[in-house]
Amino acid sequence: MYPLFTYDGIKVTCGVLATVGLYSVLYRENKFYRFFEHLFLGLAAGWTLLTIWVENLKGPWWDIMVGVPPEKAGDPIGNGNWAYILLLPLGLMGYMVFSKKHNWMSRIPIGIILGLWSGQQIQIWYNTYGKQIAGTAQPIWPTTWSSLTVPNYDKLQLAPDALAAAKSQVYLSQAITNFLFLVTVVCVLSYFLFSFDAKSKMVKSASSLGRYLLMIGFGAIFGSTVLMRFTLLIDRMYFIWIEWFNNIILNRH
Amino acid sequence: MLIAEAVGQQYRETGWFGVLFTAILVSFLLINIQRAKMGKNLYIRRIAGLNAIDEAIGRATEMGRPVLMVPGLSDNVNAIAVQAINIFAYVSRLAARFANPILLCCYNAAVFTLAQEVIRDVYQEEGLLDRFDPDSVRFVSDRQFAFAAGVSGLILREQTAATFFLGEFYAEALIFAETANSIGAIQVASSTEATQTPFFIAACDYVLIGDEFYAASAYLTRQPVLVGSLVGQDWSKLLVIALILFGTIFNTITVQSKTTKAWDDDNGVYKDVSERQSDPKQSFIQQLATPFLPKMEVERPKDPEAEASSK
Amino acid sequence: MNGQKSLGEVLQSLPKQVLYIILIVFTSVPLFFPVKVPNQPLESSVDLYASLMAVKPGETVLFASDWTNSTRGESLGQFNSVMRILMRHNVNVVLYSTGDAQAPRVAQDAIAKLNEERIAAGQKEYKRWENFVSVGFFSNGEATINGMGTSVRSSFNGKKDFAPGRGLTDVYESPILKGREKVSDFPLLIVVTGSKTSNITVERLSGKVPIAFAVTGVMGPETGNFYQSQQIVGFASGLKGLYDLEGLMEDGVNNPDKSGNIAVKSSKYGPIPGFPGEKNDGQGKRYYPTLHFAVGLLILAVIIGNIGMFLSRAGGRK
Repeated sequence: MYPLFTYDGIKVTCGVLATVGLYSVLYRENKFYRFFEHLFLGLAAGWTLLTIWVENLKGPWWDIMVGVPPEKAGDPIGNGNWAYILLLPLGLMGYMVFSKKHNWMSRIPIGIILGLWSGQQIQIWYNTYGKQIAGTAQPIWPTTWSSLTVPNYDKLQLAPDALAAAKSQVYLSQAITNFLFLVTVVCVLSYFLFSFDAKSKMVKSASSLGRYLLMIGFGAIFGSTVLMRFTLLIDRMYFIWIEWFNNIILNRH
Repeated sequence: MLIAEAVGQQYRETGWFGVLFTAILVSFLLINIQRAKMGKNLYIRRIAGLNAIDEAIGRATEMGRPVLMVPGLSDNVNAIAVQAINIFAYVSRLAARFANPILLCCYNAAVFTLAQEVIRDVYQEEGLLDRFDPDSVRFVSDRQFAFAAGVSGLILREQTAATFFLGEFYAEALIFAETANSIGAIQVASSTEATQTPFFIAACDYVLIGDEFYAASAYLTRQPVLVGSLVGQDWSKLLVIALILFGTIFNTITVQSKTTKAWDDDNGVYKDVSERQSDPKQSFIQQLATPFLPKMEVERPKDPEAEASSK
Repeated sequence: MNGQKSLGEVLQSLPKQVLYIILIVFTSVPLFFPVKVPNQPLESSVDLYASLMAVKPGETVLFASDWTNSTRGESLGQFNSVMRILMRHNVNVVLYSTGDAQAPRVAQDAIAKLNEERIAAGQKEYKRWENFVSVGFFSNGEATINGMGTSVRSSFNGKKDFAPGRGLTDVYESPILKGREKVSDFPLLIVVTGSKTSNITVERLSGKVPIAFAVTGVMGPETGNFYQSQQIVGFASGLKGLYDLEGLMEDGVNNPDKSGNIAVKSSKYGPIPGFPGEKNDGQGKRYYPTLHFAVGLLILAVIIGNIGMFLSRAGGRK
C-alpha cells in the first residue's frame, strides 16, 4: 500500500500540515496560521481537561477517597479515606473568584498553595546552593611551580605514586581559573545589592564589573540556547523532508 | 514507614551547618520584614527599568492601543507569579487612569484567578470599575506552545503598543519577544530563568535582570513584606560573599601546607603516605557544607594505575 | 535624496522572509548529505557514559523521562542513546515523569521503536514489567520528587502498570522494584528532560542518590554548575552531548580498536568498552553536521549585519 494512505502516513501528513501552518506566520499573520493556532489551542484545552481528571483528580484524590474495588477475586477491598472530602470545599473556593460578594474566599486556596511552595523553597535552598558555595571556595594560589599548566599525565609516564601526587597539586592555570571564578561570583552578587547606596568607588566598580561579567555569561547562554533552537528547527526540517517527503511521498527508505 | 522515622529526615540529612545557615538567612528576612513593618524607612535604590514601565504605558496611551501583560509560565501560584502580578497591578493602575485597554494572558488557572481579582481591585480602588473589562484578563492555555501560539496571535491581531513579560519564561520567551518586536511594541521583560534572559536582552527594550525583578515589585508597592525581604536578601548575599571569601582564603592556606608537607617537589614523590589518603582539594568548607553525606559516586571502572598506587 | 539605499542600509534591511528562506535551505539541504564530523567528547559526556556503563547488569535504575515532542530534536536522541546503553547492559528501568502528562506515552512509544530495532537485530525484547515499568505522570513534580527522597514506595503509592496476563497492577509488584524502598536503593537516577525538572531533581535528591542528566542545550550552562560542584555525576547537553554519547557508544573509553588506536582517552577511567557494530547512530549523527551549516550561517549573518551597521554609520557621519 502506498504509505501516504496508511495510518502512519496520514498522521505524519497532518503533522506536516500543522508545522507548515504554524511556520506560515513567519511570512505574515494569515488565516492558515490562525486556523492551526486555534486547532492547537483547542487540542490543548481538551487534553488539559482530560489530564486534570485523570492525573490530578482521579488517582491522587477520587480513588483514594472512595477506595478502589478489588481487581481480581481474593484481593482486599481498598479502603476509602473519607477525610479527603475536606479538600473539595477548599478546591471549590477557587471558583469563588467569579462571585462579586465572596471572591475573598478564592484567596484561601491560593494562600495554602503559596505557603506549601515557599516552605519547600526554604527546605531545598541549602541542598541547591550549599555545595556550590563550598565549591566556589577553591585555592587561589598554586601549590607548585614545577608546571604552570596541568601536565598531560599520559605523556609524563610517572610512577603511580608520583602520578597521584601530580594530580593532587594546584597548578597556576587552575589557581587563575579559581580566582576568576571567585571574582565573577563576588562581583555579580554585588551587582544585585539593592538596599545600599554604594558610594565607595570599589563597590561601584565591582558592581559594574559584575554587570559586564553577567553579559558575558548571558552571551554564552545565548549561544547554547541558539544551538538548541537550531536543533529543533533541523528536527522539523527532518520531519518534513525525510520522514514525510522522502519516506512517505517518494516512498523511499 | 513510621512517622517518627520520617519526621525531620530531610533536614537531618543536610547536616547541622545547612540547617543553621538556612535558619540565619530566614532570620535575616524576618528581622527586616519586622523592621519594615515597624515603619522604618528602608532604602531601596531605584532601578532604571522602572522608568521604562512608565514610558511604555505612556506610549500605549498616545497610540490608543492595548498594553499586554504576561505573568510567566508558573505551574502554580508561586512567589514569582505573585511578584509579577504586583507589578502588573501598578501597570494596570496607570492604564486605568489613562483609560488604556489592557490584556493580561495567563498560563495557569490559579494564576488567572489571582490576576483577575487583583486587577479588578485595582480598578475598584481607582473608582473606575466601569472601565474594567473582565475579558481583559484571560486564561489562554496551559500547554506551553499552545500558549505561545495564542499569545503571539493576540499580539499580532490586537497590535499591542506595549508588552510586559515578567515572571518565569522558557522556550516561548523569544517567540513572544520577537513577535512583539516585529510590530514595534515597546517591551519591558524579565525572566527568572537565567537561560531566557539573554533572549529578552536581545529582543526587548528594557530587561530587569534576575533579582531586579523582585526589587522592582518591592519598589513599586512599598509593601513591608516585599521591602523587608529584599533587604533581608541583601544581608544574605553579603553573608554568602563573606563565607566564600573566608573559605577561599582558608582553603588556599590549608592546601599549601598540606601538599608541600606531603609532596617532595624535587623528586616528584610523596613523602608521607598518610597524607595521600585525604584529597587535599577536599576543603574544610566542603566538609562543613556536606558533613554527613556519603560520597555520591558511581562505582565506575577505575584507572588501573591509580588503583595500584592506592594499594 | 534619490531614494537609493546605501550598501550598509541594504545589508541591514534584508527582508525577513528572505532570511527565513535562506535559513530553511541551510537547515534542509545538508540533511540529505550526512558527513562525519570529527569530535572530542566533553568530560561531562564521558562521565555520563561511564556512569551508565557502571550500573551492573540486572540492577534497576530510576529514569525520569520528562520530555515530549516539543523538544524531540534533542531529547528523543538522548533518550534513545541512554536506553540503548541500558538495554544492551541488561539494566532494568523504572520510568516516571513529572514534566508533562504526555511524557510517559512518548517514552513508551520510543521504547517500542527501540524494541522493533532489537528484534530485527535478533536481540532479546526489552519487556514491559520484567525489564521496565512505567509508573506514569505525577502532576505535582516538586512534591513527588521531594517525597522520593524519603520513600520511593510512598511516592509511587497507587501507581499501576500493565503486567502480562494481569492487566493493571500495582507497580511495586513488579520484580524489578522488589526490595527497593528508598531512593538510595537505586544505583543511579537518570533524568532526560526538555524542561527544568533536572533542577528540581538536584534540589531535592542530590546527595541521596547518584544523579545523571541528559538535558537540552538551553539547560546546559545551568546544569554545568551542578556538575562542577559534583551534585551530579555526569550529563549530556543538547545535540553536542548526544553526538558525544553516540560516538562513545561506538568507541568506548580508553578502548583500543583493532589497529590499537584509542579514540577517546580519559585519565579518570580504565578501559570501558563500546558497542561497535551495533546500531549506535541516531539523531546526533543525522543532525550534527546540519547544525554546523546553520551556525555558520548565523555567524555570517552577524558579520554582515555588523558590516552593514558600520557602513551606514560611517555614511551617516559624512
